Amino acid sequence: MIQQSFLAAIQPHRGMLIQIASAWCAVREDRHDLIQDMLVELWRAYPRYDPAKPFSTFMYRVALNVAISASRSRSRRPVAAASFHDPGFDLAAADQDLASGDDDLQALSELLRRLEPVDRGLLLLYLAGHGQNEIAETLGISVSNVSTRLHRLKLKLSQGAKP
Amino acid sequence: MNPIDLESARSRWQAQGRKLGDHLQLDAERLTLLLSKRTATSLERRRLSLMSSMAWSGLCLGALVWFCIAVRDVPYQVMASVLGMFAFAALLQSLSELRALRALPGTLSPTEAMDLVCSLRLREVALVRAMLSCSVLLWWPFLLVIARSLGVDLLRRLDPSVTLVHVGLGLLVLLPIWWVLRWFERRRDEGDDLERSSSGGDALLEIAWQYRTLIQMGNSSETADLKPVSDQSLAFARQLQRRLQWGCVLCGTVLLLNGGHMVHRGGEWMVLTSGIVFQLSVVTWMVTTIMAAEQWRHLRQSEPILAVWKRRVPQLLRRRAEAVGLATQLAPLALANGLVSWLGTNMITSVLLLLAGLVIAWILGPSASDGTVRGFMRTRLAWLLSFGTVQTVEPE
Repeated sequence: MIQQSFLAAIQPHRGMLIQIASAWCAVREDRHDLIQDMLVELWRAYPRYDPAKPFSTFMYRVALNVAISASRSRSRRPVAAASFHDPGFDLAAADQDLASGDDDLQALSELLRRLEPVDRGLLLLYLAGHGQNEIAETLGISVSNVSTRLHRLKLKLSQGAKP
Repeated sequence: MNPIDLESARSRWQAQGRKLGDHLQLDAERLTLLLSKRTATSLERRRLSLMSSMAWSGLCLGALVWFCIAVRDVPYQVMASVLGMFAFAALLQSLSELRALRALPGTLSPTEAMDLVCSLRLREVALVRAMLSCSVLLWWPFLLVIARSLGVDLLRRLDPSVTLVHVGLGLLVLLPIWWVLRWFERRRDEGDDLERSSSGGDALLEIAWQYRTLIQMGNSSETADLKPVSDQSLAFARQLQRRLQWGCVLCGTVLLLNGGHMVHRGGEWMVLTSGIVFQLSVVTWMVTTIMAAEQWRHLRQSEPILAVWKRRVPQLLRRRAEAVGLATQLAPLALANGLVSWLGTNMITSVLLLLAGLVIAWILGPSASDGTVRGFMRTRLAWLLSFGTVQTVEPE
């Protein structure tokens, strides 16, 4: 029952997992592992999800935590033990979609990989349509901090400057 | 890179996200399979860890049994047996956990299996807690057994009061250490539910939360206006970390000197009691210093994190200074005794020398930040104990 409810909640936001994984991992196999990690942790955290709040905010919070953690522990992690190929994850096709996107989106994807983790999470949340309050709550920083960071990112992007 | 209008890119990004979702096929069967595979991986890692733990415990137990057979001396055999009991308990714990994992019912869902693994880990934590509680009691027998295995009969060379004082102190601190460990555990249990749940009992994921907590701590007006990391700032932080590392080296030296002094003057209960309390306080301080220095390794990405670290270090050291100040009521006695022994002076001269040192430190030390007597004492004690590091990291 919980499984069905979890699947129903996650279905509309599946693409977000690929977008986060793409922002964190350049190698497809790593993205595959990261998406699996995020799904497992989301499933484990789901019983504590507060339905009064948007599911996407909860999902971003857990997924970003997992992504930050994974990027830090990847060097220590036994990759062979963690690898399990799921044919339902067609990341090759997802890569094609990402590559065929317009120039702005491709440039944004590249930019995301170069940003520091907090800015990366912030930009991902902003692009996904979250408001500044939600971003602040998800990342655990103040609204004014979000506003300042966002302003700087916009300024850089509008000038076409590298971060 | 061409200029990008973020506002217009937002809708296209969301549309891309919806399209990308089609490439992730999620259904109940797939999810169960994924969780099962991940659980199997987690269990396999745990099995490997348990096997290495068993090998290590077995090795220790074997060495202690060999010691008991080779050294036919009852007091040493008793001490080795006590140590052996702990090694045996660790071996049994690993073995029982391994058996529990092997007998895991196949009907369990992956989540239930993962929870079971977490509960098994908690049993291991209980054993570690018991070992830590007895650590002060056990370190002296451990030292004696090691020395005896190298051919040195310390038990008979030293006055019996040395052993008596160590055993007495070990018994005395048994309950306080157990209580402190319980307190830390309770504080940990009171953490954020979501964070705890999304760790899945995996210590690696906790790093992400520590990171986030530190970001939260930087959630103040002074860090809202962020600047990129400057070379000057990084150079300052590196210098600070070097000072902390030197602090650790100095603490280690003090530990060795005090340990040597205790062995040298082992028969005097005053030297031993004050010396051991002093030793424990220095260890506490050294652990804090190492923690502060270690944090730096995870925080070098950005200016706000650096700023938080710079603010956290003095807070951490000041709090520890208070604890050390409370715990080392006997430290001046140990220092005075040490001076008597090392400089060959009498007790009055030693106390006067200590007082002179304190006055000089008082004059040179930083001023209190809050103007209270408590703040005054804390600031100076932390400054003294941190070899001046606290003053270096005071927020401007």
